[in-house]
Amino acid sequence: MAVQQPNVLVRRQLPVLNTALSVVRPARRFARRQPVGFVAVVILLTLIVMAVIGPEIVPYEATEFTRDRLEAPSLKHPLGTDQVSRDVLSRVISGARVSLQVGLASVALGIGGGAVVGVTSGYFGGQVDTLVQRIMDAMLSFPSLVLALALAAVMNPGLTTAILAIGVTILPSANRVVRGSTLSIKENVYVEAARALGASNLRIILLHIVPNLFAVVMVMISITMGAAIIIEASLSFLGLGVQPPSVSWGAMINSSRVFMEVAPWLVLVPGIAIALVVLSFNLLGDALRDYFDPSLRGR
Amino acid sequence: MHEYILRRLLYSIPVVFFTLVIIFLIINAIPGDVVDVQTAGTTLSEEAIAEYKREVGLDKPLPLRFFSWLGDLARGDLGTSIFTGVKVQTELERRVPVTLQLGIFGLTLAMIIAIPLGIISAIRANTPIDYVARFLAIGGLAVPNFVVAVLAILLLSKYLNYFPGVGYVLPWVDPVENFRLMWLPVLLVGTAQSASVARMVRSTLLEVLHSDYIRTAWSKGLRERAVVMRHAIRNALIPVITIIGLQARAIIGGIVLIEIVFGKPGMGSWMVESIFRRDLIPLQAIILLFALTVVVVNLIVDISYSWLDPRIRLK
Repeated sequence: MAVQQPNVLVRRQLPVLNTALSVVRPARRFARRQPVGFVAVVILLTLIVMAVIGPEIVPYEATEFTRDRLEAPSLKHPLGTDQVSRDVLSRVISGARVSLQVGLASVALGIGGGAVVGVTSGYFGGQVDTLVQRIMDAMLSFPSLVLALALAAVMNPGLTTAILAIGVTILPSANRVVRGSTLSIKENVYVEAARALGASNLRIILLHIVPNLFAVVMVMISITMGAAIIIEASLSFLGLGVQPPSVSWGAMINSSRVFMEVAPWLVLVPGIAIALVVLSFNLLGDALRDYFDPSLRGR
Repeated sequence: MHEYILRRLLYSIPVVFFTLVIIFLIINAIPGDVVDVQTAGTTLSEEAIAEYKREVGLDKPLPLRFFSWLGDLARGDLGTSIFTGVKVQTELERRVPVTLQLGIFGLTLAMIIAIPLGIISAIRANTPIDYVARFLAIGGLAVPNFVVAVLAILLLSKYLNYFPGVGYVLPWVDPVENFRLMWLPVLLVGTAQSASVARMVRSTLLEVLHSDYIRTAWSKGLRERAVVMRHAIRNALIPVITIIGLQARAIIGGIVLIEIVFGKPGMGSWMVESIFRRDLIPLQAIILLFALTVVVVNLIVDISYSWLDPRIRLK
């Protein structure tokens, strides 16, 4: 189905339309070439909408006590109720918000920070680069969960702590990926040409290096979101993530473990929620990688 | 070769140093200090607390305390838990075997599952068997291992009336009991790690299968068996060694959760217990040991990699 080409005159007068088309066209191409990735995008968009407006439209508050304790899924409670009679559907939707919040914020922090460090360190090189990279290597010697746990332990557990802790574990790997790409991009002839024309370092970084990092960073964001959500779930499973009354999928599983023999949905529902989100982010990451670099297709 | 090993060892020195600095900063970032945590809620006077702090050296400036900690480490003194009064060293002897068994057996199992799976997936790329293997791998990556562990316990206890035991017995004390207590945790650590290993094996082998010398092998009329087993796998498995290095971090994180779910008295559950008690001295030692394990594993991996593939050390 071809979109009617708007005539040139209209396009000149409507910059908004141009911007819209510049989003729609690549999106349609992506959907056609990467159907699995497109399905993942649809699932994730649904989830985001659910996380944003869901808690407002669900029949019960996430922390509200209904009178039905450990009730199996029914029309009244589509996903059952938990050991203190809270509605599981309302809670899992509320948990989606926390999961995405922590995921997005920590990924923004980790990849943003890692990208700044990686680009500057890789572009300028020299002694500072060596020093910074050894510090990053040292950060990489901590298993992600161990570092996040340690940080969560010395700060007060909560939303901000979880975001900071997970962001810090993402930073060194993001730095490594971005630095690697920067090193190869800066060897290109157009960078040399820009320098010969007298462009400043800042201009070269912003106009010639950063745009070429787009593909790498997009893939990394997608895959890291999945990893961040798993760490968040693990932290809150251990009781060191987001604290009640905020709802987290990991904490839901932990608090309901004892009751799972009589009410398996208490573990299954948040478990499936985590798996679905992480799977979608991973599939999207793979699809984006294939889309940006067709030579890797099917690898 | 000797030169490469030397260079690689020298490179590790700053990494270990910064690792120590980071651990020290994290532990000391806590509001107040060990003594404040310990004496909170007691009726000790301000002077008594200050006196105690002087005794353990907490009144000294940070850099001085950092170097005195390094001194303690150099003498092999990891300190004493202020909560239990047990020396960290003593507790370690009890805890390390549990985690080591989970790690080594888990990693071995992951390789046993993932390498054949990755190979089949690569040589039969884009066939139904490849799709199934890839789906299993990407699905396995998406489910956190604590969820799998909790569900495994649920299934076994509810439908088979089987309860995986809590606790630990050393394998040389009672091998049968050790197996009974550890088979499920090891299985879960292994399967959890096999997903990402299988993906990496598949992509490295595919890369090798597209190289020139494989085309040559085919064109001189070798059978598939000879091409794959003698030419491709040998070269594809060298990079797989580096996977062990990459996997070391993930496997430790996985073990922490598995130990908690199965009630195993290992390093991971000790770490979580120490966090909840705010018992910082063992916590410091545990984080240090985890980080050093990763550094040492990566060192060994890099050196053996360069030994197998001379191109690396000549770079």
